[in-house]
Amino acid sequence: MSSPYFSFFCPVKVIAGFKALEHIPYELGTHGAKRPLLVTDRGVRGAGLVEIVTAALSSGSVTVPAIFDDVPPDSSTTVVAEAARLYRQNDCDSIVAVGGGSVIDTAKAVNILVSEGGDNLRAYCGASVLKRPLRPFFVLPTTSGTGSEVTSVCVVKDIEAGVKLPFVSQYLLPNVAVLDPRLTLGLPPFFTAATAMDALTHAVEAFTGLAKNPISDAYATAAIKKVAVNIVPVLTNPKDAPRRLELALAATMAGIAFSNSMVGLVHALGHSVGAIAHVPHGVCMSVLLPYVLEYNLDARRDAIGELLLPLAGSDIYAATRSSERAEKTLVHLRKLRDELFALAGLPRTLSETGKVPREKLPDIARLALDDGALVTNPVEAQYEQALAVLERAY
Amino acid sequence: MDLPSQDQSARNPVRALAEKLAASLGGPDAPYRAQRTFTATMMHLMASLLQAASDADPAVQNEVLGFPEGLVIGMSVLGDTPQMRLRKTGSRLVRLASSDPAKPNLAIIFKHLTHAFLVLSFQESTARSFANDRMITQGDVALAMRLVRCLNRMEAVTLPKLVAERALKAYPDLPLAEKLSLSVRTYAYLLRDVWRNR
Ligand SMILES: [Fe+2]
Repeated sequence: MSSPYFSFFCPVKVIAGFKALEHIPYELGTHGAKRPLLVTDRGVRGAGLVEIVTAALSSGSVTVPAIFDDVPPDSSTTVVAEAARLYRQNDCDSIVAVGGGSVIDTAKAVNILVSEGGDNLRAYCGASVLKRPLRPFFVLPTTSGTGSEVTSVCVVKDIEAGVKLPFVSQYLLPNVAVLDPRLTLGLPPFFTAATAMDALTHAVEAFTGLAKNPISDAYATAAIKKVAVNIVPVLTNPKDAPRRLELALAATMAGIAFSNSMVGLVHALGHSVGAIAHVPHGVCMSVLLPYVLEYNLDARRDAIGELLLPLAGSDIYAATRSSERAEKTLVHLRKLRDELFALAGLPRTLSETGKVPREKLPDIARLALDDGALVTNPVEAQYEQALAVLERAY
Repeated sequence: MDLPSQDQSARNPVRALAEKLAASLGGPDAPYRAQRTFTATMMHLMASLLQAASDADPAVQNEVLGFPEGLVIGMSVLGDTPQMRLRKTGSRLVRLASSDPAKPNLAIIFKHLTHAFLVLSFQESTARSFANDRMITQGDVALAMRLVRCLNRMEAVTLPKLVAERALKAYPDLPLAEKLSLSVRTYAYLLRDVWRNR
């Protein structure tokens, strides 16, 4: 008989809260670094966030010798090689990434090149190819969703070969993740809602999946509570810094949960919807989450029922019979989805995204079967079932 | 289903029977020497069954067609030479002779002999083993998922239902008549291959 087994790993130092950015000079010093390359994108720079970061650094006697702000939404090996060139030209000794998922993935890949040498990223593609630590790497997320600041993976497009290269290694994990409310204060409502739903989905899938474990369960439930309590107040008052920080913490904690317990069918389907219909990832998550939980309900009644406590609070949890909690969790998720539609215009169905033609659903279902996230979904899903979930979410 | 407990198996006679079967193989604490012999034998058998399934079962053939031509698939234990190697040739998966030096470009590698033994003696499902991070997959993830579908289908067809239920996350909706005719065809091909290679 198989007995429970798990492993858990997260070596990232989290620095979070009021004036967190001002801790970076000291932390860089403990890694023997003083010339960081700043990796970011035009949007982040345009929002004035780079100035906030560089000001905090220079007043702490760290100058930033170069800024690479050319990261596109869908990064590529060419972009990575350019950034690596800038790093070398300016004799940098560390990397500070300021941005969302694409910036962080790009910076991880840049770290491979500048640490291992050369320009051939392809040589390091795959799982566990890297064998030693890379350069000091700090991540400053400007969205509260992906959790990339605590994951050991990155994906970069190889434009010549027309494929996406996945990299998986514990050495891709940043040394430090800095969560400072100043970095997410200006995130527009739509993206605030979408990325929060991505974080929520990471936590829910980690908690209900086959690879759940007691330590990531603790992170997952705490993350769910933070999203549930803070998302609506933040959307009504976007300048609420303490609550912004709560959402950033939720994203990081959900990231820690899913990087140890993996995700499931919501992500398998969501990746396909994103690839085929170009719907933003967080929107896919928000739309698909209730329908996939419905699909997983019978196999995961207990775990889904437990989520009612972080999601709806102790009063509602206590007032709901234990046999009805799983259904009640779904009711609350749908309620949250409807609130986010009202407050931020987040679509509630696939058709509401305006980007998914119904006749594409079979292609989307077929592509989802090739997604690794399917393995840890608690219920097996073949083509027919995947399509049925998409149809319901349409 | 993920963390089966003893009392669950006590209630379920099918599961109890399957457990007896596993115990007769030595259980999870069988000596390493016995595990090694059993694991090597099972990997050879799995390779032969996959080849036979690619000859007999249209569903497997359909999946195989999606592999790039010439792809070499391997299953092994970390540090050991692969015991299972197959090459995609048309709609078939063909076992490689031990003299063939080809290295797998799609590989499932168990981190320890015991982890392979648990899966191959149906004491731990493939999905559970993956969720427990007991195996490394090398190569394209989409192709690995395709291989998992081939293995699942082959196991659903060729294994007795009570064993297949332990190996798979969900036993598919396979009508008994179809299962019987497909498994008879698959085993006929297996015997033919054994006869040819004798
Ligand atoms: Fe996600």
